[in-house]
Amino acid sequence: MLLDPRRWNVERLRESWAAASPFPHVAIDGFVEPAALSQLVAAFDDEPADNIQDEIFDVMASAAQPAHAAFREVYDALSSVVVLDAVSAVTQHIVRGVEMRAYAYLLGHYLLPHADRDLDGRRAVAYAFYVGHLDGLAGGELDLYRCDLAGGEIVRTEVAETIHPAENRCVLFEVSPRSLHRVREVTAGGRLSLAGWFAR
Amino acid sequence: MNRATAELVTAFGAVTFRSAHGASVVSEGAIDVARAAAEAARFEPFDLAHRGRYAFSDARVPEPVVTELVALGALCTGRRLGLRQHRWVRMVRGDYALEADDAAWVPTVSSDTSPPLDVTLDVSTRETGEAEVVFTRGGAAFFTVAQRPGEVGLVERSPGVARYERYLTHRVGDAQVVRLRLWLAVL
Repeated sequence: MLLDPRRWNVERLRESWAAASPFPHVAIDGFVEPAALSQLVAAFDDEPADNIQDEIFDVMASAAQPAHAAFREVYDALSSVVVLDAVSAVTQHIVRGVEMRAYAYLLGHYLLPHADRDLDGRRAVAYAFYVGHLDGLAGGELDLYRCDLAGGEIVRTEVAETIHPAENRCVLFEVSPRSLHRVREVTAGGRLSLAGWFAR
Repeated sequence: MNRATAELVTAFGAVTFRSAHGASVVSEGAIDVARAAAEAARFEPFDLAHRGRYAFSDARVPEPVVTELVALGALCTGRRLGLRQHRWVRMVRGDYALEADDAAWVPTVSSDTSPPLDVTLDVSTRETGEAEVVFTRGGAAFFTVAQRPGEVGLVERSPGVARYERYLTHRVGDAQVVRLRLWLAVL
C-alpha cells in the first residue's frame, strides 16, 4: 500500500495541528512507502512540465493533473476515502477531494509570500509532499509567517516557522487569509514535490 | 526629438493599453543627476511579506530630471502633465514588490478622469537580467519594462491596471537595482 494513514497517530497529529503556530499546520514524516520514492523521483524526468512565472512564482510545474502513472497512484491514494477521512480527522476540516500538481523547484526558483486563494470556498487544507531532492539542495524551505494586524491591515510580518523539505515528508496547513507562506529560493540543487489542496 | 524618443512616442500610442519603454529617451546628463541624487538619498527598509521587500526614499527629485520626464510623458499622452508623487526604490537580492504594494502606494484611479501616467527611470549602474517591472490587467501581464541602466517605462494607469516588480534571485549577486518612480497626472 503506497500510503496507509492507519499508521498515522491521528490523535497526536490533530493536537499538533491545533497547537501549531503561526497557524494550524502539521508535518507527517514517512508519508509513503519508502520503496516508492525512487520511482516517484524518476517520474519527474518523464512528466511534461512548463516553467511557469507569475507575480509570486517561478517554478517548473506539471499540468493540473499529472500524467505519469506513479503520480496518478499518489493522486488516487490521496483521493481515497481512508486518506480523506484521516486528513479530516487531523485538521477538523471535512475534505472530500484533492487537487495535485507536480513541482520541480530548480536553481533560482521560488514562491513568494502569499495566502492561498480559495475563490470558490473549496480549498480547505494545503499540502506539500516532498518526494526528493536533486544534488546538494540549498533553499526550498517552507516559511510560515506570523502577521500582526491593526485596523484589519497587516502591519508586521515575520517568519515564525521554517519547515525543511525533508524527503518523504508531507506538510499540511490551513487555507485562510492569514496563512501567509513562501518557498525560499532554491540556490543549489532542486526540490521535487507533489502539492495542492484538500477540498471540501 | 531624437529617433529613440520618436519611436517611444509611436509605440506608446500604438497599443490598446498605452505603454512603451526604451533607452536613450532621457539625456545622459539627467540620468547622471538622478543617479547622484539616488546615491545621496537616505533609504529606509520596507518589509511586509505580502507586499514586498525593498528600500525606498522620498528624497526630492532634481528639477532637470522632473522636467525631462514630464516632457516625455506629455509627448506620449498629448496632455499637460505634472508630478503628483514620486519614490526612489532600491532592490537587492531577495527583494520584490507585489501588486498589493502598488495598490497601497498609488492613488485611486477614477474612470471619469484622464488616466495618470506611471513613469519609471532606471538609474542602476548594472543590468541584472531580472527585476523586471510588470504591468497587468485582469490578472494578465500586458507590458514589461526590463531592468537596464537608463531604461524608461511609461504606462497609462487606467482602472484595473496593476504593477509588480519581479523577485531578484541569488544570480544578481551584489547588484543593486535603483529606480525612480513618478506618478504624473493631468494638470
